[in-house]
Amino acid sequence: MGGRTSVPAMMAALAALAALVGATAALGQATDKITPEELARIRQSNAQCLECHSGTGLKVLTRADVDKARLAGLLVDPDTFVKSNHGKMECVACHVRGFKEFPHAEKEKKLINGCDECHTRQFLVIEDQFFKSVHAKKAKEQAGSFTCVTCHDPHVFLQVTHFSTTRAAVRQDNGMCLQCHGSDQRFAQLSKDARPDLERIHGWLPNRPLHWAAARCVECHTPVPQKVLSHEILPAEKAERNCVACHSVNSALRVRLYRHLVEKERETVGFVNSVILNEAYVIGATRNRYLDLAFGIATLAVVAGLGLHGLLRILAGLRRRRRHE
Amino acid sequence: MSERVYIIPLWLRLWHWINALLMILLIVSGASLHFSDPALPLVRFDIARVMHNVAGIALAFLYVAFFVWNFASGNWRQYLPSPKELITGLNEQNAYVAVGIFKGAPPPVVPTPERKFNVLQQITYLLVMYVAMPVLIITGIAFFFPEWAPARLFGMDGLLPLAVTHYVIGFLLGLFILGHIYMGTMGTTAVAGFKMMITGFHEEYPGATGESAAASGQESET
Repeated sequence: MGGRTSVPAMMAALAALAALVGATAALGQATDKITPEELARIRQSNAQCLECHSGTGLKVLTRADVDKARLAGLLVDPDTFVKSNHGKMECVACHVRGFKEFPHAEKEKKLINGCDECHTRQFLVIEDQFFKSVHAKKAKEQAGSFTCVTCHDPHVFLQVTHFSTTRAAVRQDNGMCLQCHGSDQRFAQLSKDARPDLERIHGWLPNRPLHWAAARCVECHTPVPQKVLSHEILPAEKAERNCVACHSVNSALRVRLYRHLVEKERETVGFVNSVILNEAYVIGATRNRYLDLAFGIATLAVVAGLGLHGLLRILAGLRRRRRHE
Repeated sequence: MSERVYIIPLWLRLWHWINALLMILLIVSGASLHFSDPALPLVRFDIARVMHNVAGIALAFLYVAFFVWNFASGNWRQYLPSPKELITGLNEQNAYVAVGIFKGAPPPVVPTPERKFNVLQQITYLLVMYVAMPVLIITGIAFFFPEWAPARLFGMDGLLPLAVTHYVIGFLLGLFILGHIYMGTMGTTAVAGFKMMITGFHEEYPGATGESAAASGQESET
């Protein structure tokens, strides 16, 4: 015991590390370094799946041995998928067992890889955060009901960094929350509570539609002091309500929604947080240094000028009085 | 003995002081919003926002009331400088501010019911009340409907021109207020202007400045 580590434990740790490195490398290879030939092969392989699992495929499908009603709930939009984070992945990379042939294998013989198979490194951080989240607590009530894909549809999801505008990213990310928080039916599948009326509980938030279009739910519903966005989703009572968390020069938006853009920031004609200003005017966060400086100097000049004028008047008055005396 | 002349009617004095109070609230809250600093808040952001909105709406209503009343009462004519006196009046006023006041000379124009303002005041108030204030109020009201602003303008958020205009005009009006308060000390006595805005009466103290201010005032009227 104490500071000594047994050999089997070390071996186990090394094995885990090797698996982690391997998985991380696989993830990198899967998405970054892909040859045109490999991509063509993947597209061809995926086309086989999409022959049935797409809207167009379903329409023209003539096979009699397919339960079309069931298939209608298992469709993927090919265009969206191609543009998504996983768009260069082969379907069978995740749908690993029992899907290559049709009819697909029975339930127990089918296997879909969990997200942690590839996202191993991120999971080390995300899991801890998720277990503290309000979602984990709700998931405990209905065990196993809440997983990554409850929010992140792997056939659709795109990282914020890949969107052409921040507002489009906000639309996607808030859409993930609204899948359940905007639908009584889906909300009831995951929680025994009544679905809160979002407009009512956000009644305190000024310019609500604008906030909802320009910032993500998670900007406030994750712990702001942690700066970097977390998977610890906070309930209403713990969510951030301090306006200046975002509405100030050191806006939390810099390390959250605009994190990927801040590195590219070049202060545009004196505007602070110009990367934010490109997308949204945020009072307190997107002011102009030159304008502030000019007005600061102007105020000082006016005060000094008036003060000097007043002082000279007083001195001149005293001098006149002395002369009269 | 002093001579008292009733110059500023009650409605105008009430408007002036309510306006002054609202402007102070707007400057304090506006500065708190613009220079928001979590470590050193002048007024807390959410409170400043409510303060700015309420005072802003009140100022807009008050401006409309002023505008209507000003026309109905004929007071608007007080703001129009006479083209004939424009240059001479400005020269006189500038000479008084730059030289005359230090020598104890009387103001070139002493307020009378027929003519409350000197040319410098007329030009300044005309710009403040009929150019700056409408722009400030319109851009302020537009902020209540941010969704109507263009989504993007010159590669930046469409609200930016509104925001910058509102800020610039607000700041200039803040500077005007500083000058306005100081100018209040430049009447026949250092406090005559302030007393007039409270009581409505302008008190002239013949001989207080070494010359007959009242006589001088009458001369300038003729």
